[in-house]
Formats: sequence, structure tokens, C-alpha cells
Amino acid sequence: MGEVATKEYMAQRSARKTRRVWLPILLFGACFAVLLGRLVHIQVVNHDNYSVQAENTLIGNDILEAPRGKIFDRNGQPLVLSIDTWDLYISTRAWSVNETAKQAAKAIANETGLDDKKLQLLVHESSLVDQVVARDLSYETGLKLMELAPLGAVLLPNTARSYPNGKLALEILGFIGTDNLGLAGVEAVYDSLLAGEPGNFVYERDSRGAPIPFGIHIIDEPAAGSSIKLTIDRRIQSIAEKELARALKENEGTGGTILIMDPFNGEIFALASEPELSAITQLYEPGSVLKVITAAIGLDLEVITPETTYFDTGITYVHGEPIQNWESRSYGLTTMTEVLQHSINTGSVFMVEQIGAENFHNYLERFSFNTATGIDLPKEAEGIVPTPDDKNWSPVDLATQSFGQSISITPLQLIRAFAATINGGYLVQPHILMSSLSESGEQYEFEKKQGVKVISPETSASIREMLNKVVNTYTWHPARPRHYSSGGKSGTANIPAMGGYSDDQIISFMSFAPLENPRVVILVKIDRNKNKLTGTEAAGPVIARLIDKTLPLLNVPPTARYVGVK
Amino acid sequence: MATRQQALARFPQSTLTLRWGLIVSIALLALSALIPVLQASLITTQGHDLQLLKQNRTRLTSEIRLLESELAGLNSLERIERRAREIGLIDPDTPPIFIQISNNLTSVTKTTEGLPGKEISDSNPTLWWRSIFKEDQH
Repeated sequence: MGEVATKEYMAQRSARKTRRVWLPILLFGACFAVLLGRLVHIQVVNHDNYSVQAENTLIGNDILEAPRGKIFDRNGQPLVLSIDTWDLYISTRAWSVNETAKQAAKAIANETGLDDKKLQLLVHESSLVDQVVARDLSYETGLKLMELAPLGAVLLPNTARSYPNGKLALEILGFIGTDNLGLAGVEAVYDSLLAGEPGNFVYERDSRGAPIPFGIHIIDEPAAGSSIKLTIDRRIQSIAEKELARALKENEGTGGTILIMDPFNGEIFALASEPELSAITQLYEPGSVLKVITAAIGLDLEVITPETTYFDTGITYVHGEPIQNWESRSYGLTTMTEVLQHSINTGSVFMVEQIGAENFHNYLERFSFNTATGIDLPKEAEGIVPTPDDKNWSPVDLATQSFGQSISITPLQLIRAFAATINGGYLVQPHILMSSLSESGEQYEFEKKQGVKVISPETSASIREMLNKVVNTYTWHPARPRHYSSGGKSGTANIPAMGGYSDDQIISFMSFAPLENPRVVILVKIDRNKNKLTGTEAAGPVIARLIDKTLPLLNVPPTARYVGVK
Repeated sequence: MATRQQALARFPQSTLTLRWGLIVSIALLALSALIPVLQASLITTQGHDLQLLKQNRTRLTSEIRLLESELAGLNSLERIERRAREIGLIDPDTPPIFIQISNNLTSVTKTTEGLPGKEISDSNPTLWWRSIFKEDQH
């Protein structure tokens, strides 16, 4: 009995011993398996995710902005340059301790002028690893900060635009956004040329998040953008902007435009407008300056000559509607040249009657009044030219179109058409870009094509002579330059309002010079001038000054017969 | 003498040669093992120098851009006009004078460089001009 009991006791003890061994093994084994599983989950299953997180903590990665290309005027004078700047980032982890953050913030504030408390708050509230606290710090400030090396501060290179001529030609040049992309003007249109290719770089951080010295590695070098040369002449542009400001002030105008263009190749020498770019974006009824186009069409169709006469009574009736001259003046027997000289409305109605509606609109289409010119600036508007096919068309519209009412075009469309009437008959392509040069030396020149022929050279020569007579109608003609021969035509148009026209007016003068070999065409337009002067009275003197100031800059000697004339 | 021969007998010639070879081999092996270390060290040093040079280049390029910008600012129309007003210049009321020169402008400039020291006869100035062009033709 005793022996049996002992055996049972031994068996039980042995069994307990075995459990004591394998139960902990099982327990530890299970724990180990869990740990192993977690390890596999972290290192194998979620490897990529954790790897990215680790990289984000220890390695900063950013885009290295490429310096944008420079912009020059036609004489190689810089209009826009790129300078190197710095963007300041703060490692939020490095600033987690208040005392160290305070010291670093003060050091940064001393150099940058930022508010240290706001700086700390911004970083403290940020959920990012690196918080940007300042963009486009000057190059020198960045270097000073690098010497100071405040804790957690990372300076990343960036570029900014510099405008050595201040606000000159800003409406043409445009601007860029914080992402260095062109948003307006030439910067937007030629963004692909100017932007270049951004690079890429990484920088290493220590355990506190501070950048490790020499820990910046450029992966891809940025490629600078191409530089471009514009057709703008900064001296002429400056004159145009000043003259526009003066004209608006003297005539109490609400807006206006000065456009100066090469009549033979469409190169824009200067473009100044108020509001910005209204020279290409705003439509208006040009008024009597369009009589030049009507006369050109009549001459080209040979239905009139400069000497053709008609009898002006001061009023004419179209479809029962009276059409009167300016201030109801009558001129009696009048030639077509005199129609332009005195800007006679009934004369232009006479011309368009000889031309006929179909021919007139065919020519307006040839002059491309109903399409945009295609200038390399954004948001160009297309003209509105009502034709007999339109719903509310009336023959009165044809009559009024002959002297620039019932037709809406942009100043640029008008000056292009005007250029065609005096350059031998070719509709040129207005443009701003002259050439571009990439960093690798690839050059692109604006392809100069002969414009589309719209009228004959003979017609063009006649128009030049007729317009020369306009500015020589009186020796004291306000639009007559002192030192150069020229030709031109004024315009004074009422602004359309509900059901008719308002008393507000848009006045303009369009001119070319010199007579023998035109080098410039100029349009001066003033909107809603409160002094109610006419185009000749208000815009004429501006034209005369512009011609006298502009042509010497283009190396055009004064007209021989004008030298010494005051 | 006998002692030396006994010693030589104890260390045969072949054994001695084999040990020298072993030592040389070990030395060569050690040296060859050092080569990658030296290369790595050299590359690291040069890499560091290269990075410094790159940083210098970047800094100089940035400074060039800044100087270009400053120069353009000094050359701006607004500044030139302001400076002109400061020194009392006024807008000319007369048209500019254009002179048409039919001869080669470069050669005329070269010749006139020596003018200050020359005595010019007032009685017949055309001769002076002719002399320039004659010199030019040589």
C-alpha cells in the first residue's frame, strides 16, 4: 500500500515538474511569437511606411527652385532679374523645449525682423515636421543666419524676382506666384521658357532635428530658365508711361492707352494703359480714327480718290435717320482728303455708300477686326463687328461704322489696322518677344513674316499723303511734331449707354512718323475726359511730344525741312 | 664556425625562404587591404573638398546675381534722371544733332585718340580731316 502511494506521489510530482517546464516555455514562446509577429509586421509588412516616416524624421527632402530666366528690353537692358533668396524652415521637434525655442526665436527675430513670440507660436501650433516661417529672405540675411545657426533652423535656397526699373512696364512683365510660376503678363505667357527645371536635394538632421553640417546633398541640379529679350524699349516705355499719366491728369481722364509700334514688323516699342493691359483687353468704339480705314477701303476699291468731291450740307439721312457732323458744321464741296482733315461724318457716310455694305465688311474682316491679333500677352479680347447677317442690323449701322461707331475693337486691333494702311498694305503680327536664349546657348528669334496683304501699296501711299495733310491742316495743329514729318487722325467717340450714347466720350489720336519712311505708329487714347476736349485738342499734343521724343531714340534723324522750325 | 654550420643545419635554406615569402605575402595582403581604406579616405576627403567648392560656386553665383541686380538698379532710368536733376541737368529743348559719317567710324576713333597733343591749324580745318582719312588708307 505504502509502495503504491509513493509511486503515485512520484508520478504526480513528475507530471507537475513537466508542466512547470513547458508552461513557462509556452508562455514565453507566445510572448516571443507576438513580439516576432509585431517585428515582422513592422519590418516586413509595413516596411515602406515606417521607412518613409524614419526618413521624414531624419532626412529633409525639398525642391531646389531653378532661377527664372532674365527679361531684357530690346537694347539688352535688364527689366527683370532673378536673385537668390532663402526660405526659413523650423524643425518643430527641435523647438519642443520652450527654453531652447525661445533663444533660437530671439536670434532669428534679431536678424529677420520677425516677431519672436509669433514665431514660437507658429512653430508650436504646427503639425508639420518642418514649418516654413519666412519666404524670400535676402541672401545676406540668410548668410548671417547660417553663421548664427539657431537651433532647428533650416535655410533652403529659393529665388525671387528683382525689378531694377521699379514699376516700369510691370503690366507687360506681369508677376510670379510663391511657387515661382508666372501668373500674369510675359511671366505667364513665357513661363515654360523662363521657369527652367527645378532640382531636388536632401539634408540630414540630428536626433534633435537640427541640420547636420555638410549634410546637404543635391540630387538634381536645377537648370536655370531661358532669358528673353522683348521688343520693348525701356526709354520709350518710360516716356509713354509718363505721358499717359500726364494726359490723364491734365484731361481728368479715368483711363487711357498709349501704344507705340513698329508699323513694318509689329514690334511693340511701348505699351502703357490704365487700367492695366486695357490696350488689349478692353473693347471700345474708336470713333473718327476709323475714317482712315473707310478711306483706305474706298481708295483700294477705286470707288474714290483723294480728290473725289461731294457736297456737304452738314447733315445726311440714312434710312430716315439724320447723321450730323461734329458741332453740326457744314463744309460745302469737299474732297475726300478734306473729309479726313476736318473729320466730316457725312463724308465718311458718302465713302461707305460708294463702297457698299458687303465690300465694307469684307475689308473689315481682312483687317481682322473681328478676331484677336494674337499678341503674346494674356487675355486679349476679340472685336465685335455687327454685319448685315446679324439680327438687329440696320443700314444706319453701316453708316455709323464708317466713322467708328457701332463697332467695338481693342486699341491694339486699331493700331494694327492703321499700320497696314501706311506700311504698304500689310497686316503685321504685333508681338512682344524678340528672342530667347537658353542657358545651354540655344537661341530663338521671333520669326519675322511678311504680313497679310490687305490693301495695295498705292492705296497706302495715298493714305500717308492724306494723313500728312491732316496734321498740316493748320501750322499750329496740336498733333504736329516739331522735328519730324508725320500723318495722323483724331477720334472723339461717345460711349454707348442703354438705348443710345452717353455724354461721356473716348478721345484718341493715331499717328505715324516720319512721313517718308514711317518708323513708328502711335495711338493715344484717353477715356471719359472731364474737360471735354476733342481728340485733336487733348491727345494731339501728346502724340506730337511722343514723336519728337521717341524717334531720336530709334536713331531717326529729324526731317530736314523741319529742322529749325518752332 | 662549427656552431654556425650547426645552426644552419638546424634551419634549412628552404624553410627560411618559405618564411620570408610568407612575411612578404602577409605584408602585401595587409597593404592590399589598406588600399580600399585609403581609397575610401581619399574619396571622402575629395568629396568634402568638392562639396566645399560647390558651396563656394553657389555662393559666388548668388553674389554675381546680386551684383547684377545692384548694377541694373544703378543703371535704372529713374536713378539716372534723379542724378541728372541733382547735378542740374535739364531736358533739352532742341532736337538731337545727327551727324552722318560716311567713312569707317572705328578707324576715325582710333586716329582721334592721339588728338589732344596735336596742334590743329584753324586756317584750313578740312586738311586735318583729309589727313586722317589719308592715314587711314595706308
